[in-house]
Amino acid sequence: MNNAVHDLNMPSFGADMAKGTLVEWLVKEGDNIKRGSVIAVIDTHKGAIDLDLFEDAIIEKLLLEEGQQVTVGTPIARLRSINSDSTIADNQQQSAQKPLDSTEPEITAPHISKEAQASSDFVLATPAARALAIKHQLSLQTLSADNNNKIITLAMVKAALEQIPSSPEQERTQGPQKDKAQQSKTGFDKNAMRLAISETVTRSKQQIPHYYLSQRLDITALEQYLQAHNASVSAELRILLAAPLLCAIARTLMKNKQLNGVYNNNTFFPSNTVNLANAINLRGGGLVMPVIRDAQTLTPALMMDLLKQQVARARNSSLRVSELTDGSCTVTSIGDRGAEKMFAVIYPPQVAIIALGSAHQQVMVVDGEVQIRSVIEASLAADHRVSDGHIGARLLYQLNQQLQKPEQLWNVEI
Amino acid sequence: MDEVTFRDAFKAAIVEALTEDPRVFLMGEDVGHYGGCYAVSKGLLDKFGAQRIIDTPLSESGFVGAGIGAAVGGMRPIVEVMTVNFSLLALDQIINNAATLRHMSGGQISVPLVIRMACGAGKQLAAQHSHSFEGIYAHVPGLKVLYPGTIADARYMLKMALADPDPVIIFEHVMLYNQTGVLPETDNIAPMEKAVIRKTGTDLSIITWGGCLYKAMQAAELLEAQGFNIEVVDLRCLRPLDRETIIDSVRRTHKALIVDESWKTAGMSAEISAILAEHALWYLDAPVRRVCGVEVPIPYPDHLEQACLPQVKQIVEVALQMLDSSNSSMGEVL
Repeated sequence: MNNAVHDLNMPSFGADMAKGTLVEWLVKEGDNIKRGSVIAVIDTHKGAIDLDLFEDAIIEKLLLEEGQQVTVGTPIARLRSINSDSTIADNQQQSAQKPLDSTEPEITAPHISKEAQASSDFVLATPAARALAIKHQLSLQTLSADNNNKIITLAMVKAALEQIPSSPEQERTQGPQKDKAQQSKTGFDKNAMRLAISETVTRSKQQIPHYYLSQRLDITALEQYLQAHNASVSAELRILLAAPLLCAIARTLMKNKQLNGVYNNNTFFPSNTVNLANAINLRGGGLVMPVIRDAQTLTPALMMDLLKQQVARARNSSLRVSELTDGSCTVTSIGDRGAEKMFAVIYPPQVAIIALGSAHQQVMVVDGEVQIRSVIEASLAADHRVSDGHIGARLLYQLNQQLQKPEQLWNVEI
Repeated sequence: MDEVTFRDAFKAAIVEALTEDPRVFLMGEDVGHYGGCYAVSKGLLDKFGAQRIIDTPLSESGFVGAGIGAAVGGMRPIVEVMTVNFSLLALDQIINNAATLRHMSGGQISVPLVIRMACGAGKQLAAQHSHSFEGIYAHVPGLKVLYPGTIADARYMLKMALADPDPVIIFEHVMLYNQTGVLPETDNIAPMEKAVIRKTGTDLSIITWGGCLYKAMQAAELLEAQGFNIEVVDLRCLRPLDRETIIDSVRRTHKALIVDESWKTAGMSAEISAILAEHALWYLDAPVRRVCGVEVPIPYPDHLEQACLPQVKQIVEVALQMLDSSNSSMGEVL
């Protein structure tokens, strides 16, 4: 297969995203784009996200107009790859993003036998009607219900399209487009985000059989090591507790593959690296989960840099697509003034989430003596279809062990 | 302008070829003294002589083989086989020799042979003289298969077939011979391998050829009177098949109705359906439908023979089912 020319598809920033609106193109056809450059701004319920390229490429054709909303997986631009075999796997990944919303059948819907038809919710529609409905993101289920469950034809889809008051194109011509782009750039749609979170957590709780484990992490040694480190460096190089904690979690996940990966179509796909999604609260409500790639390879200092950048970008809505995709496990923290213990909901298609309570002091028995120690209550919620309790328990145990030797975290072993 | 019959048009084409090219001769059963079983070559023996209008024995394999030999030797023979049913006796010559020699000789040998065959039902000639086997010949690489359905194609396709370096079969439907039409003044018809849209429309494509074309045109007119806009695609050439025109038409109308006088099973209509499934599936707004001959040997009695053939009324009925926007009949197809 020739990968030189391929489509760039509307990416998904997570299981809760079904559609995206192209707010603005930052490139034009024929432009020569370097890997990592931002080429477009995409609006989702999470706010405007910068779409960056995973490869060096030439923009062959822009397939969307500014203001158009399409389903995840719809081609938005055609790219011509420039050299470098190493990028092929990446760009396939970026191109291969398929629609996630199971209610939207793919354009390549396979033939379905009568038996399969009876047992699934496959909606009968003529191929032409199906193609047009998908193009305009009309739900075949809704069309079917609106037409007394008859076979959907082109005429029914066209009739439904005429009833839609105004298409994105029309809206665009009505209002000044620059304003719209600016508006999107400044914030996210709070209601849409709440709705998306609600859909995702409901689905997760309904479909994923969670099991929960909790473990007290003794972070006294880590705190002491960190204090010594921070005392020896200038203020801007100081490291917060979160950074070495995330490093420790990432390295422990590498040893527990059944908790690190994604579950799709009844199959678990373990990840060979840790792409750690870090849940960040947004001011005004809402959550984003930027991904720290290859987190097991980072030192606390590098991790700290990334965290600072990501939190800043998340709060001013300039996260990049590459920061929001391919998470293999999530960590969420309640923060300094929060509850001692938290249990989280798995973010599908991932299979585990680690929740950290607030750091606090507690009386503990250490080596037969009563001591005051700094602790964090860590909990694990994991998918019982993929792993069992003893695997989860091992992860938390190993994590605690890792934290007793903080100096190891400052060395990277690959 | 005066109307002429298809018979006149076929005959004029042969006369023109005999007149303009001394390598051309006509050979077949009863083409000379009898004037041809359907009187296409009546009077040609007197005009061109027994050297060029040759009555053959009743031996299809023999005289088709002789035609192949003559073509290889540099002549431009027109061989008439009385009906397509009899051509089965010459299948070995046509498929094993005429169609293969260019390939087997590494391109050194051409077989510029034209075989004319009467075919089709409607004249109460029963099961051994009435069939439609164009699908069998269209299956064979190395052959070209023409099936004129208009007076202009009847008149001018022979010239194109004779100019072709490879064997060409021309089918002449027996029900067309007496039909009349106005002959265009020039021979400016589409290339023989192109399908032609005889009537443009937006709601449904009727795809047909040869002896069913006039039925499709009549059905389209009746449907037009009911407010539908029907496109009629005349394939003209069944091998090579002009897939592009078929696919393009159905992509525009979203509905395909194939009318084929021969049997449905494993025939031309099945091939066209498969092409649409392969190349136009996402454009289809209704299942592809076929109006074909009933799967029995063509009967002798007139009422049974007519019941076996695609009829205008039937084409209209099926088209209306496909055009029914409430698609109440679509369930039957599933």
